[in-house]
Amino acid sequence: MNTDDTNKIISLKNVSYTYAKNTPFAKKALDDINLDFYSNEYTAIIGATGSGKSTLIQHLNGLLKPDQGEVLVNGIDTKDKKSQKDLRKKVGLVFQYAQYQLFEETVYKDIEFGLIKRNIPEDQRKQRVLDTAKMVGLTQENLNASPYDLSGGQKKRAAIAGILVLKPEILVLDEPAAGLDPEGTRELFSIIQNLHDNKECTVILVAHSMELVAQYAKRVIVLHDSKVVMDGTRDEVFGNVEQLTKLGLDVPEVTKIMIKLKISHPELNDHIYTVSDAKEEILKHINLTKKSNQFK
Amino acid sequence: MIEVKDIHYAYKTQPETTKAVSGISLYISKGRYIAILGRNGSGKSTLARMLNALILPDMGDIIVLGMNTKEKVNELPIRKKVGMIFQDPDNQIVGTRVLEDVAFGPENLGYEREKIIQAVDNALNQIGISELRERAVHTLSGGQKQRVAIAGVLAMKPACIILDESTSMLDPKGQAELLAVTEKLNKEEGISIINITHNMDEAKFADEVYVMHKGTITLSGTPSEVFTNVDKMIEAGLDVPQATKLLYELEKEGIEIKNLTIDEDEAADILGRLLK
Repeated sequence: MNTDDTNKIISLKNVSYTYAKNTPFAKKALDDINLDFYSNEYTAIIGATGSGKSTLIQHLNGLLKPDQGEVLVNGIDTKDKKSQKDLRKKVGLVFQYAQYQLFEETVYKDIEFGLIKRNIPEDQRKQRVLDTAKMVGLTQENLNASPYDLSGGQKKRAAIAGILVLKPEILVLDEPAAGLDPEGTRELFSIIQNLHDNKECTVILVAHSMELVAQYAKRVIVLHDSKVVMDGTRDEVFGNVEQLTKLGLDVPEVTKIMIKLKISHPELNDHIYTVSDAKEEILKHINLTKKSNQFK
Repeated sequence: MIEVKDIHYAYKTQPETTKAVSGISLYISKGRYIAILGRNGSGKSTLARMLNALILPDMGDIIVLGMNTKEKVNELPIRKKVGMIFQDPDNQIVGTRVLEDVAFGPENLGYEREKIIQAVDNALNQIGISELRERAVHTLSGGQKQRVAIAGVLAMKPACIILDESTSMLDPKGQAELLAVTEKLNKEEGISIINITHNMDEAKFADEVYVMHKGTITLSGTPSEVFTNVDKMIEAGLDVPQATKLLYELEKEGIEIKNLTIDEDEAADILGRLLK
């Protein structure tokens, strides 16, 4: 992770936000949040229901403005009225059920919509729609279809294409797996991974599945009661099982297996968060045992 | 209680060759907790809608408590006995207050006022949401709305409740709340539950699991029998527990594993013996 200041793209300084302020229903959703995001990071934000995750990410493109503190995107304050359009272009936000927000006659038109709104000339629009469709794995046939004729996973990808076509520097996704089946989820996360690997955009997402977070995210931020309580690399955060459990969060099942196994086999590394890493670790030790038996 | 005999169904908007359901037979006995797993488009919701006569099979028969769903006179008695909870909490609430919403079913059955109120209060009580009785429905969370929907079904004294992807729009907390209610109704009231889902965690504690793929049932058995058949689960576009996946991957590397398991502790034991 390159964390020098030139790579800083979003900065939250002492950000607080309260819903229904000055009413009996007031609820503090963010409490003095300080966070910096850097170019080409892949960050997952986790936390229990109501911890403030969705409120936080809606601050990243100025959809919500802090009551106190400030959010800077490339140095520009999200409260700056003149920069709203620019802000939405830089930070693409994909809502939780974006697949239910498609509205055009065809998928092609739906993806093209944002380009028309931004007065991009027609000759450029076509190429951009086609390139983006390719990025998210939609075929020409899908583009000609009505959004209603797509599967849930395809709809989600069409919704993301509608954001990506505007070439955001930062892609923010709220629980992208919501409503998708396991196969659709796998496809979607490998597309997001490609976007990140090809440096198309910085990825910030909210996720519930610890297995998915462990497999893909490089950095993990944990929210609890409207505050940031953990922030570090994937290994740093998932390595602290005790605190995660205390916060009501889980670690991947495979991590729990490795922790149990370490009790009887102290030589094992239990800082393991994916099935493929667990497989490698166990194979390594089986082979070591074999070798040492040969010399007996 | 429900008998499904070689049913077939194709949506009229689709070509005849792409059947949503193609030759399914199963028998669901009273008081069981059943999970039907399958990815989107596998035909599982079509099957669910046929179980309470919302759609009728093109071929084959479905017999619910001795009543064929094809006979028009059986439609209402079947829907009374087999209640259904859908995916979107906002699409199945009809009242503005919880009380009114839950009363909708018994009102339509023509019960007297006293009996309606009693049925509503019993249902709310059984589900443990009596404190929501007077609340406006729009102020509830998704998980609470789904439990209100279950109370509405429960007030009609069903023998079976079908959940059609009912947890898929809920967060983990809402999912857990809803599942706890279905388990309770199953254990304490003997109501059969048929949970249609693509989430394997929900199928783990079912009595029986059926896996649907391309309109047919490709796997069935106890959760452990089904999930340890990793190849078929992957073919159906589904997940298996990480414990099972790890053992399966090691087996592919030539390590002898004998029995796959879906249990975390058993997996740790098996691996522990391997490393000795």
